[in-house]
Amino acid sequence: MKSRNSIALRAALVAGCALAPLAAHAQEATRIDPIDVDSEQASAQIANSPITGSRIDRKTLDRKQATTSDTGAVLSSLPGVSAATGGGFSSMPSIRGLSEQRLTVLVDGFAIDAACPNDMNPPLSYTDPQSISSIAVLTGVAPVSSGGDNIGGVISVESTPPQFATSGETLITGNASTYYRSNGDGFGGAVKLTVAGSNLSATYTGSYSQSDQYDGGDNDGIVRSTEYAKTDHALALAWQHATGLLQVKGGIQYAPYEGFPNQYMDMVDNKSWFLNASYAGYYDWGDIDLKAAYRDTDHEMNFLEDKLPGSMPMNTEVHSFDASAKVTVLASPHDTVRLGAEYHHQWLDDYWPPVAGNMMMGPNTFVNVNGATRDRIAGYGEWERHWSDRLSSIVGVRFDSVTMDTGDVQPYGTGMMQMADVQAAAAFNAADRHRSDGNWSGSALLVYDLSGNAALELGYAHKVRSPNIYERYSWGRGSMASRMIGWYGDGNGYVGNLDLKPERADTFSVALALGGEAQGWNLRIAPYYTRVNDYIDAAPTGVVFTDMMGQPTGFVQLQFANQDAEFYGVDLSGAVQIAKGSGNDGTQLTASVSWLEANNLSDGGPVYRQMPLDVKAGVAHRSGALELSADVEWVAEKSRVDATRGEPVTDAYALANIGAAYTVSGVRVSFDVTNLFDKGYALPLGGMSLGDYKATGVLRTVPGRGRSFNVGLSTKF
Amino acid sequence: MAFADTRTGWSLPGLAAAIAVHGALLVAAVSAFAVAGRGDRHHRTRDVIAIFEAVESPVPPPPSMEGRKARRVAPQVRPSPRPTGKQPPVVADAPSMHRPPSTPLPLVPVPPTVRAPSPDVPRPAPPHVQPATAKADPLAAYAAQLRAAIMRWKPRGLRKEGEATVAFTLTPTGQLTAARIAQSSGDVQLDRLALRMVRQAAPFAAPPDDAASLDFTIAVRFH
Repeated sequence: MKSRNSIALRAALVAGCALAPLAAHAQEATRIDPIDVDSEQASAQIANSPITGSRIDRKTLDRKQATTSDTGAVLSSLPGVSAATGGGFSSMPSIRGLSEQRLTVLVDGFAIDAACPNDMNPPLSYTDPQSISSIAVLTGVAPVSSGGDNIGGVISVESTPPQFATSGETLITGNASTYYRSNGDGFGGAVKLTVAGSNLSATYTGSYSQSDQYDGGDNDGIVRSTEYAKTDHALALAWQHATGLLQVKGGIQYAPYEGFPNQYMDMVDNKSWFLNASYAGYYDWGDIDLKAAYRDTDHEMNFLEDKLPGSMPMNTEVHSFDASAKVTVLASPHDTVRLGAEYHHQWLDDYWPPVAGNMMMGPNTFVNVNGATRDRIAGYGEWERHWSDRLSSIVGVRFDSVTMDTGDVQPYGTGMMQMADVQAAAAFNAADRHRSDGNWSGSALLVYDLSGNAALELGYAHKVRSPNIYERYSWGRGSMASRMIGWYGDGNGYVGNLDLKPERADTFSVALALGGEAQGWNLRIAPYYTRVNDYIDAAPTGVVFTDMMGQPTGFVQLQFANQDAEFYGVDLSGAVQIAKGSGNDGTQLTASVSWLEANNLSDGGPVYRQMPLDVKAGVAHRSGALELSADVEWVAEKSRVDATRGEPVTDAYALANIGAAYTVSGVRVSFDVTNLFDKGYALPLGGMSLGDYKATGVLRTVPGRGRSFNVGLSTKF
Repeated sequence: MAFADTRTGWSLPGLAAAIAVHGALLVAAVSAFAVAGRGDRHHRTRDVIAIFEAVESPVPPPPSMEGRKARRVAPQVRPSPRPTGKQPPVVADAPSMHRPPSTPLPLVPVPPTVRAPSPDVPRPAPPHVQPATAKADPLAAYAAQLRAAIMRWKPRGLRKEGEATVAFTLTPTGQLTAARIAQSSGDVQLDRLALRMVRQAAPFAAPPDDAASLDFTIAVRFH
């Protein structure tokens, strides 16, 4: 019956097609006035957290890419976001005081697992400001559909969406850029090339960046262990058909060296390749998103030139598999329901080969982590409702099941000098290491357009994160073994804790947006409060490290421990258009203030590595092909420091940057001076300058970068 | 080194679960190809059409049986338009025009107002749209009604630019018989969202008796 109907239908369609020209001739279709879909109102954009969310677009990146290769540092221009010093392209972003794996960091929609006991290769280290299309950052409450197993904000780095030919001819388009920075003799370049038909598109993206050690400002001299080099290459294929878009992307990253000024080790090799695929289908009932990804990372640490002599190879291998499905159903013109399922698998091996002739580091391989697995299966449901043209809400609930396990470990040897590790390994191997967490999270967000130039965003979230592999499974208690663990840049040693519980955070976030483009000004005020139960901080083990003479070095051994903490603050930002010309021409003043305090409620002290009061102001002028800019940043003294880690106080400082760019014949030429007055200052989140310490024996905080003259060239074709 | 070689760490139950979920969703996606291709959306029963309308909404709400009855009973009631920034095209017979400006914002779903025809209970022929004025073009007024109905389904939160034009055909009772992309935006997502707006908005109010054509085109411009 069905097939007969189908044949009849096809016959009718064929007949209909044959008669179509006649029909068209007979009567002309009535043209209905066009509909504009702009979603300008805050309440329409609720899924993007319109007031506490920000987006760094390609134009901003055009201005920044000649001054830094560090995506994390680019993000620190946003209110509420700061960057903790890592390597030259590996800063770790912190959103409202929460950093590391407390945040969801996505690259092209995929999470990237940490593959290093010092977190030298965080997700953003696989991106380059030259080849990113945009970065979306949610500093406030993020809907549960944006990711699980996190308690903080969301950073989403996006490549250019696939482009297709619309004219019928093959589309060939792309861009190229290059830069030079005087401080550190940094240089690099990037190319993007797209070849596309109307349904198929192929895009190659490649970049290279390199720099020597930079000089600090004023009399700070060279800052050791700050050199780096890396290259990324990726090929993306996309096919759009009648109902959806299929994308496949594969790529490699190779970083032959990256110094870390605040770690005992440097990265001497990092190779990572990935293959991911996604399908987005758009149907009358809603959308479907399917994703799968595999990534393989081989990471090696040892000493670069500033930390020589010596050798201590440390290798980490990680395999990750990620799969997710999301279904978005349009229940009515006002109701959208999202249902999703996720699976994430991480396998991690971390071993330190013996050093020939070294009594301490031999004769066996030190097995730091033996084939640990961390599997997460999650499901969520979310309801977005537009109650009116002014009022919207999103509420959602998700469940993440995290299961972890790891194999037996072994120390370098069984000598007297290695007894601390021998005993620790025996205790670790005797313990039950299988761990399973069931984590419930929920989020609620409300956006109300008070008027055409005022909008309010209210958010609450309860989010839970399970400990990572190193937090649970690092076991070495010897001085050297424990100092190899930790991503804090503080020189202390860290020991894992099998008994760690997941962190549970409750966040309240309010944001008010005033003004708008039509008014020529805008102001955003966003206070927040987060309380974290079982925050994974560190407690002293009682071991104090000593030097060759038996004198205390000032560094101690700590163990990861569940404590309670609170974070509160306010982010202010605003802009005033003081002149407006045609098109993009005009002059704009911008300013932002971020203030934050974080307290460890268990030990009564401040939480480690929190940015002090940060005030930024800038002016940008554009007139035809000419762009001019000037910025100043003032950062207060960091006097609230974590005594447990011996965190140093840093002084207040002010920096000034200027820039000019001119576009001629499609080529943009830029010239910037960063740290114009060559101010010498300590990075508030820089930690201890261990590269300098090893080379000079003098311990200082990591100095900020001194003056640099930067030249950039870019073009689109 | 025994600890670093052959172990892959795969979790078979987890992998199996992921493959199963993907398989199920792929089947759903593939089956939806056929569904999407039929185009006869008018068979879908739509028991509830919630009507939410902001006081300042520039969009006239979609036509409903209730609205048409109101028009038939009191076609002369025409309060003056509200002074909002963006005015909709002047459609004298749009339902909102019959509501006094002081009508409070309805925030709860209105009870079922439109039902698809069922084989058992033949749907009474809906009353035809009355001309706005004796001189106004009834087809233009009807087109504005269609626009308002389609606009209710506009997607939110998009960050894409492009323009897609949808061509569609109605029956004399306002059912959608075919909808297709007449002019592509070049982006399948925007094309599909434009098509979805028209299909979700169907069935429409019945066209005027003397409509010269039941073929329509509408451009959706994404900013």
